[in-house]
Amino acid sequence: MSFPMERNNDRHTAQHRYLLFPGCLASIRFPRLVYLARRLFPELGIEVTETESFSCCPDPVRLRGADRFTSLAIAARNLAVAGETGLPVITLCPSCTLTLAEAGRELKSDHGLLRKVNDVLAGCGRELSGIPPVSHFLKVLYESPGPAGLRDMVRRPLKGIALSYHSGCHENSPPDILRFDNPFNPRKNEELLDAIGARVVDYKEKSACCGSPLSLDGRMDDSLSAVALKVEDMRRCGAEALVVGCASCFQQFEIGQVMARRKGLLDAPLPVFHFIEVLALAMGYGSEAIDVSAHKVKGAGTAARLLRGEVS
Amino acid sequence: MITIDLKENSVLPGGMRQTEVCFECSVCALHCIVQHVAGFDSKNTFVYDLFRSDDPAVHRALWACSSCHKCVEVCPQDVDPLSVIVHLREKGFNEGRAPAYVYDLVKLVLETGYAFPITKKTQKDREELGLSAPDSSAVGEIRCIASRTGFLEKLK
Ligand code: SF4
Ligand code: SF4
Repeated sequence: MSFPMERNNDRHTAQHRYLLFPGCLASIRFPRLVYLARRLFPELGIEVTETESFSCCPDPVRLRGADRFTSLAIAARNLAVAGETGLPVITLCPSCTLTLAEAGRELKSDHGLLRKVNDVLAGCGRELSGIPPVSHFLKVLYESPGPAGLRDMVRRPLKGIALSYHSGCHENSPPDILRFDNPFNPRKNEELLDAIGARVVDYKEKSACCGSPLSLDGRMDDSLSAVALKVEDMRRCGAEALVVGCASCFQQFEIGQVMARRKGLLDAPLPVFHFIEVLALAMGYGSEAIDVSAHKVKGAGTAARLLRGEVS
Repeated sequence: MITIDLKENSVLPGGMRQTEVCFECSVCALHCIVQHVAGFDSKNTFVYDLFRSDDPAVHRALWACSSCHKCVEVCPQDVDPLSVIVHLREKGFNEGRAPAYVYDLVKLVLETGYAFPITKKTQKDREELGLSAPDSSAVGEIRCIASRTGFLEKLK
């Protein structure tokens, strides 16, 4: 299915076409992100097509840990599905991006391995021939329209709300595969936040993980200490809310802050936004930009109003 | 220089001799989420604890690592702890000694195509937004792949 192009600025007429890889977590738990991506991206010059044939990327920790070759072959199948469309892939999830981009690079550089994988795929009705590039949507946005272009496109800038950006584990590492930003001091997504009218708040623990691998491993208390460390640092530096580009980090900060507060590990939680939500708000969307049931931390003042879809 | 003999070296690809040049500088622990696990600190980091372990394929924090790759990027000795971790996970999994939730997750992916369970809420939320139900048409093919690689057999 393809989506009609909607333009709001003549200076950025180029439409780039991509195949959308939404990923499991957005599809299953946060479908509003998929809904927003479909509507918003074309307004920003990114025309998205979808396919029903993708599977889990697969998960870079558990599936990959269980069996590297099967995991590579499943990733190769997703790449083959994408390759058949001839389009580059845009993802909503940094971990899907890494799984697919890493598989693509491995298969491009090792012809023997590609042959082995294609032997497996052939028995299941697929063949990987062209390997498409795979990028997270924030990298795509950074490249075009870019921060300056985005600034021109936003219809309702966020009026200086103080936001810190949390960079997910797989957004920039490994840099030679993802080719985006410095994993130890990422700045590019902050430039995008600045472009939509936020006041970006820098903080010390920028390269720290949200702790979600610890909750997935059943280590709730250890995971909550990671959440509290990061959120407290952002708040101390003046953030009114935090923004993520990863649905897994989103879930971790939402649930983790509620639990950390119950356990007395965190005094004042910060509202959490997925980047797509604040982008939608800046593009003029109202309360439909926000999945209220996913936002456990309501906050106060400007952040609370933003959660209701009001930019003021 | 302290050298560390990872007990599983003989079964690691290429011997993984690089673990023996780890000089316990703790630099890899600076950005490592597993350091939040109780019991690890700068003197006993996750990575040394793993390398010193008698049975590293079932190390208590082996599956807590996010595969963030930061240890690989900062290590001055090019040890590449992550490739050791990935290898050990596979070994533990093959021996049936990985945590139970890992087997459950793998089965969920192979049965539904997704790494998260499709719930009534999923269906309701998607319906409200005009999105079709989560599609599972890839399941046949990924099961075929897992069967051809021998993975399905291993899961039995
Ligand atoms: S950074 Fe490298 S040398 Fe230093 S402790 Fe970690 S693995 Fe060992
Ligand atoms: S890849 Fe794993 S071991 Fe290395 S820094 Fe990241 S979480 Fe720690």
